Amino acid sequence: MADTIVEVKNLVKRYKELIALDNFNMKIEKGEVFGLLGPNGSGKTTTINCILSLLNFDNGEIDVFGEKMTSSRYDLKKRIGIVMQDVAVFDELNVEENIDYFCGLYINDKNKRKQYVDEAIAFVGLEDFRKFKPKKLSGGLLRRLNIACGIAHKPELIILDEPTVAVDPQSRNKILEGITELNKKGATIIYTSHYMEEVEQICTHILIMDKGKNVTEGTAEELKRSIKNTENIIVYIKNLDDAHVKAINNINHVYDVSYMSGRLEIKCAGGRHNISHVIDYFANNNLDYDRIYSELPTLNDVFLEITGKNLRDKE
Amino acid sequence: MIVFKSFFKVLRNYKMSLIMYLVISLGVIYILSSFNTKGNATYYRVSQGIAVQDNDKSEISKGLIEYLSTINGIKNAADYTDDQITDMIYYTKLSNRLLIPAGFGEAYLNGADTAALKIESTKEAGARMGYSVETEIDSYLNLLSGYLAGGFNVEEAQKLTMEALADNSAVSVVADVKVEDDKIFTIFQMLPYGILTMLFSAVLPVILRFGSMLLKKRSDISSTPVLKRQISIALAAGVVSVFIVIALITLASVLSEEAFTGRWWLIVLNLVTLSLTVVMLVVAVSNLNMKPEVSAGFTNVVGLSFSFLGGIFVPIEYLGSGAKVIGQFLPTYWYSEAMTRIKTGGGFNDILNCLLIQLLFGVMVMGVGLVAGRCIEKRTA
Amino acid sequence: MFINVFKAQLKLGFRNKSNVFWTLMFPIILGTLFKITFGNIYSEYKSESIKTAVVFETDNEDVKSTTKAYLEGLEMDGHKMLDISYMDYDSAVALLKDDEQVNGIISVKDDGRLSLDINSNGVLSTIQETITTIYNQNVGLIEKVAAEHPENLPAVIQTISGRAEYINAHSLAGDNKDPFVSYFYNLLAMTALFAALNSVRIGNNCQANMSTLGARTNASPLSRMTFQAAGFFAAYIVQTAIIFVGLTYMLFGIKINFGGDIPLIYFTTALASFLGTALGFAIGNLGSFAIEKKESILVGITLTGCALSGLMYGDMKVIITEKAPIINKINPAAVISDSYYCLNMFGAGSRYFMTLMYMLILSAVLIALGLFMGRRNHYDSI
Repeated sequence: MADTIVEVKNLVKRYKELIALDNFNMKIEKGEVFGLLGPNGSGKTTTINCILSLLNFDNGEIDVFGEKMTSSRYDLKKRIGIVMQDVAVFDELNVEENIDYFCGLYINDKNKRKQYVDEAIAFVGLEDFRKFKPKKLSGGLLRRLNIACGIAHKPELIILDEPTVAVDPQSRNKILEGITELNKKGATIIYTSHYMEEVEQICTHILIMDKGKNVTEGTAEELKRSIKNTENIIVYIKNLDDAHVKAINNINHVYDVSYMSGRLEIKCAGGRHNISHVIDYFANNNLDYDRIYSELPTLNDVFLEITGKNLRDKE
Repeated sequence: MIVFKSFFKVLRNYKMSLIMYLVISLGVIYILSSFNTKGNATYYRVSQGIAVQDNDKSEISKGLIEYLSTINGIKNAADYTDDQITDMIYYTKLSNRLLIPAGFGEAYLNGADTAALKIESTKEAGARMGYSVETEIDSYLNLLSGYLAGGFNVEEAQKLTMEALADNSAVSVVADVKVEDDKIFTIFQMLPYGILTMLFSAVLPVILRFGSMLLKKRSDISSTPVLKRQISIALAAGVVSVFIVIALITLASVLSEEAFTGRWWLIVLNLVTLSLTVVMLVVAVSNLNMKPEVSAGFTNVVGLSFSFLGGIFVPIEYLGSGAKVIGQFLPTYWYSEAMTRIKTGGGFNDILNCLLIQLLFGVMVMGVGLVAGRCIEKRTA
Repeated sequence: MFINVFKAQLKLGFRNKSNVFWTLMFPIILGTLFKITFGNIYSEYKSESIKTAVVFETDNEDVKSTTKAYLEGLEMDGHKMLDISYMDYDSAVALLKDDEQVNGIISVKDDGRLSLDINSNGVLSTIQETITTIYNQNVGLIEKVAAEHPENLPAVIQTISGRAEYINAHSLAGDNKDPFVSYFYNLLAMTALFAALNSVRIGNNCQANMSTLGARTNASPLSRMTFQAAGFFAAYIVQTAIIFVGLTYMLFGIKINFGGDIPLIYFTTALASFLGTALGFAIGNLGSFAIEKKESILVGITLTGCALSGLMYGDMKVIITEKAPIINKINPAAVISDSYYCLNMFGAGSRYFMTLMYMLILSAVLIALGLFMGRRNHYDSI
């Protein structure tokens, strides 16, 4: 299939006792913005490092652009752009020189490179900071520089590993818009993040992984449909007894109720008119509430339902 | 307590450089003390090594070599290459290379024109030691020819010449200036390099880490008062220093196979004083708001310059006059001076001056450092 | 691609202010210091007459004039051997003990013999002693012959007065025979090796498991070899530039006579810098630990090497030569300082070129080691 950009088959990676990737499978088609989600330690970065052929793996196959990826496939590497989770730039070089350096690892033609560097600077909006050293840049600007370094050479496949960590909303929007734009121009994108709204906003295909396994995948809508949760009803109400909370839990189609600081969240699985049932309950019991509304489950619900709510160790 | 403990945790990061300096200073000391042992005579001639090639092998040449061997180490020139001999002369391990030509003895006895057959001597032009050996040879041969001319036979004359030359009763060391030159002096003389580099590399970067801007801000808003924190750091630095000094003294004492003798106490007192001074110096420097990365280079420069100018590596008497003037402003110079006084039999009263000057240096530098630190802090605040 | 990485690495090297500063400070601060310490020793050492106090403990004018003529007539290299002041014994002792105003006291006795008082052993005392004893020996000779073979006395006196020279003296070849100049050789060796802080970085910057930058470089289509080569040559140029500045300061700023042709000294230094770069390169590729640790290893090797080649104690190299010569062959600091030494002592001859070859061989070994250790480009863990 000519249109498959990345194909990962039965990938296994062990760190001594720990199994980081456990028969992991993944397929990325041309033109997708592919969201790779998972809790800390689920194997996202390991997967990316394997795709880039930085890491040895114990078993499995990785094809990039339809060909087997190895560490010496420089022709394939040339078509990939990577934005690392940690900012990787030289402190001694200014913004322009940094981008030029990393672009220069891919592109030899000086004039072409100059044009690309200018475009990259404009793309991330660092025009006013061309001569700044990285130390003088704020966190958001530094992230943007990090991205510019990874994409300046106009790769066909761009891998962004949590590019928006610790970035202010303005910079984040700029970055997300940029990614969409790159995608429109024809680049295929692999995007990992913890921010569900971001992923929901830009990704055309989402894969959730946990404990090194592919747990589920599909579009955001498909994922939401796949889970038990179909509707969340939120009620703002003061001083609700535990007895009432239990009673609400017994309403048809309701499977989980949580009450905290005056906010009642009712999760429903299937059924229709659920909100009417809840309103009826409050009316019958003479309970006054401030506000009530119903919403569809978000990707966050999908994520939590699939990966569980337990805290994860840092990666 | 938490500050005190974390000092040691941070210190762990610098154990490499600590071990490195320990190995270097003890290594140098060990090599020197095991290969450079000198006798303990009240007077000895400086014994030169001489590489001799005897092509003559006559009674006269053998007698001459025998005589030279009573004063100098004789090496057979044939055992070495020319280059090796040149090296040894350059590094003043050998003073001369002698070639006694064939037929020398015969020509000498016949009183023939000795200009034709002379002993070839190669030496380093500037070194007095080379002259000294040449003088010994000339003296021997001249005196021998004197006795021969006086009517004694060769064997008698050689014996008389040797006797006359061996008699250096005319030389005496001024009575109350007794020179001791034992291992303990060689070893403790070099120790300040270890003290300097180890104290600097163990204490300075750690203090700087604690003072680094970010950490300092975070600590400043914590509930531990500044003074308490500083006292804890000082205390921890003190403990580390004491440990290092005790360790060095122990190792040095083991190497010199001497401890708890009168002069040992004096030497240790001197060393402890120097260490105290160095700690004060470290405290002063730590106030200058340097980056922790800088401390490695700083340690190296301070260690080498204090040691050279203070007569630690090279005896003070070898230093140029300019160096001596500068050296007098350094504690290491007074450490060496105190060592010299102990070596010549000085007691506590004789070295007290030297000790006080060292401490004065420390107090002064620490004062300047604290004031400078205040100024820097005000400027950056 | 090579050119691009090379240029960037060059910029990186020159802009790393703390590295440039320290590698320059070593030759400048310590060079100046050595100059102050040793600068004049040799010349003072060569020309100084030995300060000697002479005390007459006799009223015999014959004895007085004979000894005076003898002592004042002693010469070495065209200057007087002794710098004589006449005084009484007590003031002489005071001078001897206190401030080293005199190096020894020669007393002239009634019987015509001399005696010497000194307060420490050393070269100066040995010379004074030789002077004293020769004189006394001749007095002894005359007494002995007068007692046993008086008829030969005139012949003996003739031998004494016609003191013969049995030595044909040569001087060691070499441009600057001052052994203290070897401290500067070692200082240059130290600078060349410390400058390797520049090349340690190369290894870390291209290994994915050592830095994020390394990972990014690895993910790029640039081959490992190209990156290593570009980085190596950039680091080499940075280091050589730094050490040349230091060397120029030593040669023309504080006017150290290294001995040998100046262009050849620069050439030797360029090779020393190459060896330094190679050492840093090997350490940088050593394994997967933090750059700070690698820098410590470099500092450790450099300082230990310099200690063994005599940076702290000049005789060290000779001791090593005698006891464990192999160390001098693998110790980069000794290899470098040996090269300067040979240039000075033996000129640009075969021995000098041997040391240059040796530097190149050692560099090649280190580079090969670095390439071997840094060859892999995928990792078990990052």
